[in-house]
Amino acid sequence: MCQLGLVLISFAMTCLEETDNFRQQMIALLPRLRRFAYSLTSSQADADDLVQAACERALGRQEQFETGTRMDSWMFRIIHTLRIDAARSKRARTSHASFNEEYDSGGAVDGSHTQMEAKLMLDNVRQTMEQLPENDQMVLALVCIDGQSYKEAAETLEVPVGTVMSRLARARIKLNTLLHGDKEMVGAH
Amino acid sequence: MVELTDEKLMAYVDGELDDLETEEVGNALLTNTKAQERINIFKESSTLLRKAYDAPFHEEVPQRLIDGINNYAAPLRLVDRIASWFQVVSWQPVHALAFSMLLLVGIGAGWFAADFSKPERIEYSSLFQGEDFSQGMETALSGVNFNIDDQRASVTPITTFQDQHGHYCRQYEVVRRGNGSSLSSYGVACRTEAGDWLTRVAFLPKPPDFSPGKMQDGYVPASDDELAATIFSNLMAEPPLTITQEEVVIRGGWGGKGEDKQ
Repeated sequence: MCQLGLVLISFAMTCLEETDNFRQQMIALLPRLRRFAYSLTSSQADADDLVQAACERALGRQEQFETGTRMDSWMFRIIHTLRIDAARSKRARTSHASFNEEYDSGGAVDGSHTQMEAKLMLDNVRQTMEQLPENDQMVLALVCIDGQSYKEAAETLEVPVGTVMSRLARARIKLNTLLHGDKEMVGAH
Repeated sequence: MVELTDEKLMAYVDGELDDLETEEVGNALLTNTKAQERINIFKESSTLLRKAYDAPFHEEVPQRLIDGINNYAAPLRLVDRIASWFQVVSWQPVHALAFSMLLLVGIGAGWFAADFSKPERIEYSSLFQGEDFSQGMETALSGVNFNIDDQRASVTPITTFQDQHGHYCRQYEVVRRGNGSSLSSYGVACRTEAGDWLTRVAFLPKPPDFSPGKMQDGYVPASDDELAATIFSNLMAEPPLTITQEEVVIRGGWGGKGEDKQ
C-alpha cells in the first residue's frame, strides 16, 4: 500500500510540474496572443477579454494539450473559436481604442500632418480588417501579423498549405481593394 | 516561362519560394509591370497589417492576464482529481468523511448485482449502473462529464487504470442534483468483457437514518481503513493512464493497453 502511495505521489508531483511548465509557456505567449486577438477584434478591451477567456479554456482543458506539440497553434485555434462563438452570439463592435497611440503614429503624438496621416491610415486598416470574413482575418493574422510560414499557418488552421496560399492571396487583394478602391484586379500572368 | 500567379507572387514576397523559383520570378518581374503592381500590393498588405496590430506585442502584458493564468483553479482539472484520489488511497480524509459517507464494496460480481432490496442500494442504484452509465463510461474521457438518471445526475470519470486482472477500471464522481442542492459521490467501476461497467466501490452520502446497527455485508462506514485499503490496493494494479493513452484505449474499444504508455 505504501509503495502504491509513493508511486501515486510521484505521479502527482509530475503532474504539478507539468502544470507549472504549461502556465509558464502560456504566459510567455501572451504578447503574441494579445496581438493575434487584437487583429481579430480591432479593440483593446475585447482583445484582452478574448485572451483571458482563451487562457481559462486552455487551462481547463490542459489534459487535451499534447506535450511536444505547438502551444501557440493550439492557443490561436482556441482564440479563433471563441471569437467566432462571440461573433455569432453578439455582433457588437464597440470602441476601437488603439492599443498604443504613440506606437501607431510612429513616434510621439505631436499632431504633425504626416503622423496624423499615418494614424488615419492604420485606423483605416483596422476598420477594413473588420469587414473581412473570419477566415480571411485569421490567415492574415497568422502570416502577415504573427509572421508564421505558410506551413505553420496550415498546421494551425488544420488545412492544406495550398488552401492557406489561395485564401491568403485573396484576402490581401481584398484588403487592398477595400483600402484603395476597386482598381484593376486582373491577374498578372 | 514561369507562370506568375497571385499565389506565386505572394510567396515570392513572403520568402516562401526556393532559390530557383525566386530567381525565375525575379527575372520575370523585370519585364512585367502588372506583376510588379501585384508585388506591391502583397508587400503593402503585410507592412500595413503589421503596423496596425503590432502594438500589443511591444507593450507590457497587463498583470491581470498573468494573474489569471497563475491563479486559475479549474474545478475539474485532472490533477485535482488525482490529488483527491491520493487522499482516498492514504485514507486521511476518510476519517473526516466517516460521519457523512458510507463506503460500499462489492468486489467481484459488482455489488448491485447481488441485492437491490436494501434501501440504500435502491436509492443509489440508478446512479452507478445501467445503460447510460455504461455508455458514458465507455466513451467519455476523464474530466468530461455525462448525464444519467434523466439528467438528474452528472457523472465525471476522473481517471482510468487497470486492476490486477487486467480489467479496465475508472474512478468517477457523481453529482446528483435535486431540491436546490447537489450531493457528490465517488466510485470505481470496472468493465466487463461484455462492455458493461459495474461499480465495485463507492463512497456515498450517508442516509439520514443510518445507524451502525443497520450495517449489512457489502457496505461499511468509510472509516474502516484496513478493509478500504485492501480493496483499493487490490483494485489498482498500476498508475492511471494518461489522457493520450486513455484516448487510444477508448478509440480501440477497450481492447488493449494505451500504446504510448509512459
